[in-house]
Amino acid sequence: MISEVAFAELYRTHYSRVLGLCRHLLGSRAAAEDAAQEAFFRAHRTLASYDAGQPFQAWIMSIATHHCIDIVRRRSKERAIFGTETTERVEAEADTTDVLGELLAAERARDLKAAVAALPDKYRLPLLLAYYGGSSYDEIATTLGLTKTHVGALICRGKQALRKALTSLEEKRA
Amino acid sequence: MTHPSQLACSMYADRALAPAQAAELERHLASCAACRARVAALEAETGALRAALLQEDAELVAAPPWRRGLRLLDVLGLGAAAALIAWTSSVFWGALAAVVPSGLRWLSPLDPRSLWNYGIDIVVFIANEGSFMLNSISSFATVAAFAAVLGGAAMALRKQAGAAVLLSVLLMVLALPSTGHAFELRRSKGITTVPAGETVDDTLIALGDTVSIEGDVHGDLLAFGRRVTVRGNVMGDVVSGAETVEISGTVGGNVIAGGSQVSLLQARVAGNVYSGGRGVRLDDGTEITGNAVTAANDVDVAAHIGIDLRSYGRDVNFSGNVTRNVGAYGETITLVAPARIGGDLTAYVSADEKLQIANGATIGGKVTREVSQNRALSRRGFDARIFEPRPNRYATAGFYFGQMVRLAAAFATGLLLLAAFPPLRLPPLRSGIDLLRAGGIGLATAVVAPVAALIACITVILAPIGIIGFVLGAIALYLAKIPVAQLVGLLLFKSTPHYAASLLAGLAVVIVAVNLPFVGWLFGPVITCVGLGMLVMHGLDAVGRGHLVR
Repeated sequence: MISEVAFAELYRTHYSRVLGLCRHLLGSRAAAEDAAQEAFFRAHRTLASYDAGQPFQAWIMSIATHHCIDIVRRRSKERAIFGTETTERVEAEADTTDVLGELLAAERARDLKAAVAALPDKYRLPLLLAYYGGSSYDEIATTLGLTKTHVGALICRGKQALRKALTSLEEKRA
Repeated sequence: MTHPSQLACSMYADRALAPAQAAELERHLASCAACRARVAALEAETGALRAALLQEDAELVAAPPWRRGLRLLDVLGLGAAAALIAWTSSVFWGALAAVVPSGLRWLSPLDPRSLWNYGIDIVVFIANEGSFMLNSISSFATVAAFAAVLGGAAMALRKQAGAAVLLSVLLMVLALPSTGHAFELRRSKGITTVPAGETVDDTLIALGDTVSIEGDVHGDLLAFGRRVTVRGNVMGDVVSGAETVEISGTVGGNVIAGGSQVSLLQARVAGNVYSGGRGVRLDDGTEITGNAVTAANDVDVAAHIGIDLRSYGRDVNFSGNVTRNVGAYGETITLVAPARIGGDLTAYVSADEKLQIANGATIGGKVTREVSQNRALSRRGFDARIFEPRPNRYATAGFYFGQMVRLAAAFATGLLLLAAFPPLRLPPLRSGIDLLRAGGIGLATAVVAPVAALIACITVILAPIGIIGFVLGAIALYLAKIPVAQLVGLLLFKSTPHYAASLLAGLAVVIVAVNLPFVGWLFGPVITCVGLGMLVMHGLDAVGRGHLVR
């Protein structure tokens, strides 16, 4: 069982990462602050169920993820926000944009973040969970209630969309 | 040779492919340079993607101070602490009071009776403000609907005569009083009346300068005006507010009446009587089966009361007949013949000699005298405030003081509300359209909810729910200005301030706006509607149904 003092310490340590995830997932600073607070509130309420052998970061990130996904689902007008697996797979194969590879240098981080923020929910959420939240495809599949291949297709599509966005930005600048 | 799919490569680069498929793909890579290059590029790309995303924004790092939410244990703890503080201070005040002249005893802030009074005052204040808002909303809605209809009619007339005729017919149909409703509304500038011999089958709401009920009302009667007279029979309750209320008929339920002068003359009331005003008179021909509660400057009770009587007044004059106990609070209390009390008399007076019991009066139980300086009608301003013609309000210092008190009260309430429900700190609006939506939802709520509560009240079984609904509704109407103030406050600041700051700034703007001469009356209902709508949206968000209204 974690003491109040220890929890406050964990809060200080992990807050910025949780806030970052919420901000990426929700797209707004204000909503992210609320969501991060809420995630810690929930964690604090359910401390009893926390297995101290597990890393705290994974636990709090999964609470925050669930909360943010609930918010996104609530916001969305569509019932199935992640589309169907078949459609996404077919579309993923149809796309032939070149992989950016090393072109995606660190100095383009700002453009990249903006492009990620502009992605539709269905691509942004799994992509962020994988590359920012550090979740495995299996974990993402469980969280979102999708199959692993569906998650794979969404991430693949997300990356393709990013490539297009960055390439067209490049062309505009040139 | 078939190359692996884009999906397979992407998942392989992320180490997410099942072992069997991964092995198969690796076999292909061994013999295909193009795919090897592709996978390598994918790996480099995700590496860069991770790195870019993880690059911390400098502004994101600082964590606000940790505040955990209130839990039941905290609430209990706080309650216990408050009780302990109250108890120790009352002991302290008790000890202090022993050395202080008794005349100053009312100064104690923890005198249980004055605490009780404060509580009542707060509820009355909130309900008053709420119902005032409701009144202004309903007239605002009527005006708005009327204006919309007129506008529509004008448009139709310009275009097509046929449409105009249709519209007029529709309007006439709508304007006809529909008999199927569970209540009837009668309203006029002059005299609103139910003449002798006429019977109203439902609950009647009567508004007018003079309201005169000579006939029968089978439901409840709600009558408001300058002068309300009830000589007929009302099967349900009578709720009335007027400068003078005079009831001399038969009432099957309770009487709740407030006004400068409330008189029950030769009346028969099957339930209880609650009355307040400058003067309350229950004459000797009046019979009340239940209890009577009267609060007024001058209380004159000569009636026959079936259970208990409780009177608050400056001068309480009693010559009636009460089957059980009498509790009287007054500066002077006089019992004159043929007063008769079956049970006990408890009199709270300002001095021993101010309770006078004449020879002809009989009291079955014991007489208790409580001498208190405190209570000599603390709510004396009650009637004067409402009914005396007022001078230009902007010219009085009291007006500004009153507004400051209002601001302080609203600020305190708002702080509590925002502290208890953090989501309220941010408006539930995602666009300008949402503001209009909030207004619409609020107007609909303000119109539909009271009607629903009224209907609930009429069906006897749901009556408690209806009454609770009314009280909650009145409180919600009072609270409605808080989310609006918060919104206005947030708009005033460039960066997001502490919610207390935005609330205070917003409330100040709101209170100034509703008090503006000539246009202020317009702001009140708009603010209330929008705020009510925002509260409803917050509520829906809280239960995950926010998308229903967006």
